[in-house]
Amino acid sequence: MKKIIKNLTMLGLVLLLAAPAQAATAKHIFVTVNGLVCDFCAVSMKKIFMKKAPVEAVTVNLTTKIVEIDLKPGGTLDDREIKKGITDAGYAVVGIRRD
Amino acid sequence: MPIRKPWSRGSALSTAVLLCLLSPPAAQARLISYAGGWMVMSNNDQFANEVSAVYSPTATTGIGPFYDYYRDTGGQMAGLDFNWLAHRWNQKDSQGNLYFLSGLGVANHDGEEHAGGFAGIEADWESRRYYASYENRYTEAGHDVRQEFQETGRIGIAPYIAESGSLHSWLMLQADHFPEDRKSWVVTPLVRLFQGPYLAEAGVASNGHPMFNLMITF
Repeated sequence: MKKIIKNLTMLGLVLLLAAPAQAATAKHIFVTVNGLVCDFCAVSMKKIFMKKAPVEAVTVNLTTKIVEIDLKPGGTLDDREIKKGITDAGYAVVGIRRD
Repeated sequence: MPIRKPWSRGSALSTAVLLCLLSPPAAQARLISYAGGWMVMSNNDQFANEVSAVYSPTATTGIGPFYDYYRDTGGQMAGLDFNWLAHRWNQKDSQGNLYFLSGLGVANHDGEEHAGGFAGIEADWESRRYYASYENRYTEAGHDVRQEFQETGRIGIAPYIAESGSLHSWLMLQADHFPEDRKSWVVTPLVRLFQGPYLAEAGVASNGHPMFNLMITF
């Protein structure tokens, strides 16, 4: 029983450590945003995120309400930075997905 | 009592026209840019020629210089705008905003200067298909320059839904109301076009006067 608990604990630790590692290595980030209704929205997003060193490109889709952020090789951008960027642009984050 | 005479009427008009030509900016749209962003605007109608620039230190505040030339009185006012986005409703398919607008400056008419300013609110709502806004503003710049309450309402429809980076077109109807002095309504059908950081509007009012607005964001 102790061995099972020990193994489960180890597995949990591995999963916990793997999650941020996946986030750190993701090259494409898809942010679902509320309030995206015009081209000024897209301009704001691009201005805000293209100032960040790890960001290679920003694409805004007004139909799907998704902002795609492409990172440079080795670049990382955590959720806090993404949420702050979207908020600074004047919009609201609904969800963040990494690929 | 005249304090000094920095602008002659002719030079002020020339400056306003020059600024309008040099700065492609604005209209009734966003009053505040993204945090760290600039907007430059020029609004021109039968009542005034206005040029302004707004810097947004945050996504809810804007500050910048303005210059207004009032065509009916020949007066002018220059100063600083202070805009505050009191609330923004970011929805999946729409956005609504409530702004408080204000400005303080120096009004000038034929060399006579005095303090002036304005204050008001603007509320707008837009989706990718529909647009509506209401703005009111009280300007106090003396009888010789401008002293009145103005209300402006707009509705608009986009004839097609444009994607980011392509040309966005709107057909709009603007109504201006001056309850105190002019006691009349002026209705202006107009076309708004914008693409990327550039916005332009043009229309002809019900009394035949043209309207032209430009805006650019940096």
